[in-house]
Amino acid sequence: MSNSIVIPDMAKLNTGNRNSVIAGKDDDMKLVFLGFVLGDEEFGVDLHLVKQIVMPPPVTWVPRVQPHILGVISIRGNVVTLIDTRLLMGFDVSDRRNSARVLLVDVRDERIGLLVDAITQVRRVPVQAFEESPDLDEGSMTDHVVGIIRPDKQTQVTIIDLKEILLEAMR
Amino acid sequence: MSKNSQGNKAMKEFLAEAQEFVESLSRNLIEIDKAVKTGEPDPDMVNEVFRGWHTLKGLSSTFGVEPLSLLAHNEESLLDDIRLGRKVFTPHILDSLFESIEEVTKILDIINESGDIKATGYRDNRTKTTPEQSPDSGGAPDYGKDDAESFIDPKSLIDAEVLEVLTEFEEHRLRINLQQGQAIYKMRIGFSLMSIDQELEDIKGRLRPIGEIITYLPSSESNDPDMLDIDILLALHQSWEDLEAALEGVGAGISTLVPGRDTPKAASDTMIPAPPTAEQPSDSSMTGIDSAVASEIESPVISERGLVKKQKEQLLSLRSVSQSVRVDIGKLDHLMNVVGELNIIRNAITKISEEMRSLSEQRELAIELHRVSRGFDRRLAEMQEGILEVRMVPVSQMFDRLSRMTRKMSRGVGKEINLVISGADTEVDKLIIEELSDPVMHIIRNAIDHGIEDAAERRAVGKPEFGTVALTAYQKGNHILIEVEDDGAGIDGEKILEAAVDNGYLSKEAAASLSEREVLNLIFLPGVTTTVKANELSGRGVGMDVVKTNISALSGVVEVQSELGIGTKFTITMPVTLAIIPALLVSVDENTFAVPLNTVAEALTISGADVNKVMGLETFTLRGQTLPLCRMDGFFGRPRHGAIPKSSRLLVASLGQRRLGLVIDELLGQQDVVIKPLGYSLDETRFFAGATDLGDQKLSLVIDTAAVIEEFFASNEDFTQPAAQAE
Repeated sequence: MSNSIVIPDMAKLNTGNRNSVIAGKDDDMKLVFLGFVLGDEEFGVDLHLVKQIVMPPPVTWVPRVQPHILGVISIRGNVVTLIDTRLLMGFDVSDRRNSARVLLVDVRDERIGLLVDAITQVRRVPVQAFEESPDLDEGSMTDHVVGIIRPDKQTQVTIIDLKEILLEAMR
Repeated sequence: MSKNSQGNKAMKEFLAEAQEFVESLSRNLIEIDKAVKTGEPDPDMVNEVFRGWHTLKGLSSTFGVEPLSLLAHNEESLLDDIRLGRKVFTPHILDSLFESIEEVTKILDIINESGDIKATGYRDNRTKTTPEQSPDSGGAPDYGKDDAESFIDPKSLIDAEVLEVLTEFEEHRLRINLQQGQAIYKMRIGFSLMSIDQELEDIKGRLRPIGEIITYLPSSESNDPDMLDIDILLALHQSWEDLEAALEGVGAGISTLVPGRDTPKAASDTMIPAPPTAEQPSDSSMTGIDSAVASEIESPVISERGLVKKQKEQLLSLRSVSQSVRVDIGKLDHLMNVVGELNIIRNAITKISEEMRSLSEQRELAIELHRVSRGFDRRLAEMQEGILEVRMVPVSQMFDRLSRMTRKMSRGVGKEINLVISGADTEVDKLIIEELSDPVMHIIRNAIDHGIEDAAERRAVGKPEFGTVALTAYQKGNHILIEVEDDGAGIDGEKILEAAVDNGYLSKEAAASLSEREVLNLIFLPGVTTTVKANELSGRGVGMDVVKTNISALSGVVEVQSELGIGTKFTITMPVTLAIIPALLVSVDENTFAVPLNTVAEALTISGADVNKVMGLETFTLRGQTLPLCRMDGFFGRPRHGAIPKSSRLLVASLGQRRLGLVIDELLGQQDVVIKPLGYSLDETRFFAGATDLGDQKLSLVIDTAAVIEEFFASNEDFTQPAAQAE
């Protein structure tokens, strides 16, 4: 498939840390996240969770489902449910951007597509630079914030437990 | 990575193979169970069960599945004792044999679910003792061998040469037959090497009705390189004339080892002649290779006794290998996908050739292309059919499992149940069989538990004491029908109504107006039951509502008929296959959907003027009958206001006995579609059987007509009305 990017670092990563919900670690014991944009915020998820990144394919509307389900898409001949990550995370819906991408993740034996506004880059930070579970406002979404990283002075990335959020939405 | 997938493959093969053993084991056990009730089980079958466990033991220790090999080992010893006459089949032993099969299934399930062949989650919770602990088995390996049966010593009657090559089991069978005073004959029959498999089977088939084949061995003396003489040791249970009749036309030299009452005096050297032309291989069919093979086979037979057995086993194993090939269903799915893709390409080609035809200068080429693509179409259809055929398995796969469970359940509740199976050779998609087992099981469980009365009650109403459950499968058009019918007490409509009202499904007034059929259908609602308390067998949280849901998920329908005091009949109607179906492509609100063709009776053009109203419901009069209408745009939550637009289309959908008019915008065509399942994340929508790729890179949803009809009639919402008017 020409419109897909398989994340190059995947193979190099230390697989011993699969169980970590927070992040994978690379050879230098750095935490590795995939950064993506929703609205004007950058988020990060465990890189291991993301199996593939593709350009948004044509979406088929599925009637009578929850609003955050955009529909179904065809990925290599398989039917994959596409989720509007903005709606899932409680953001407003805005115009689709050209930079939009679909992250493919596996949840409960099912491959799910997550539409995000853009991909930034793979973020690596040392373990000590990870600010764990900051005390935020009570709220269903803030519960899923597992930490914050600051790769440089201008950038702040909110690390979320995507799997948990999806599981909750699918319940 | 590759190591992992290899392990996975091995595991799958192990599971498939083990599953096959379980199925044949249980088939044989059920036969034995039946036979035990009326007399002696067929020793051949007992031996086969023994061999089945033996193979399973070998298989599971090869793969390191310890709990299974341990279990198989125990069962093997038990069966060994039985086949050698040290034990007999008691109901208790039969129970434990059936239980063991359940245990194997459990172990296989655990392995399958955990994906780990070494999964340790299994515990044998049964109180059954292992042979080592059990007082009455195993301990003394030579128990009874010489004591119990020593009053007739085969050695005194039969040549040591013959006895030497018998296995322990064969010797035991010989002894039993001697005790029963049966005549024993040794027959030498020549077989052509070319066709020995079929011929030997044929002879065995002829001999079985009149006696017991103790063993058959390739003979050590032969003078024709194309022929293999086989010595058959037969215990004749019928008269000598029967034997002569059975072997008519076969060249057989018979020598009497132990004469029977009517053995002719001269029989010690009888020859039942072969017809002069048949059976003898013509010299012209012989080739150099054949004779080479023949001498290769024969020389060890002559040289060493020990090899004779090996030779025999080879004959057996060669045959079983050639019977079939086991294929992972995933591979077939893949092939089916490829055919689906080819279908898409075919559609594209057809489109191109149509476009070309409109260009005058390309006309000739276009006609040629059209002709070629027609040929391609036909081949593709053939291929599709072929793959579908491979996916088909006889429902006996499921029925065998069910009869095992039925036996267990009927013993559990202490009711004598006669399970009558017919149509077991009806073929259904493998996938459907897998998914259908549980719902059918549940229906049978209900029949045994609540349907069939206990013996005293049955006697009181003049029914036979044993209850009958009939399990029937047959094909009707593109559908498979599976019926479960019992001769029990029937379903009490009053109780059903009461339960439905109690559960708040309908008011007392509404209840009074329901037809008999509607009342019975209430049992498919969650929580509606006629029994007050659940017991161990039914009522463990799986109700008829789940049965219905599961069957609907496979685009099937389940219907129930019942007569109080006479019995109950459930009918399940399923499509023959789920993999690929002809479908109508329709457009609703600019979205393309596929509707399975077998659910649509006809398609009409309709406009607002054709619509009547009955109590606010939009209806259409079709040949004098009122057809309720469902506007699909409204049903899908995107209602457009106003009357039905001009030249809309109406699909008359029918399922079971219900009909509904589906109003759509446009009919786009007909096409065979490959249905791909939707993910769990879309479980909340029940209206789609899956999605299909029509070739434009975009998926189309396949409408589950059954679910739509059901929802339409169940729902209080009125989809026939524009949303604005509906409160």
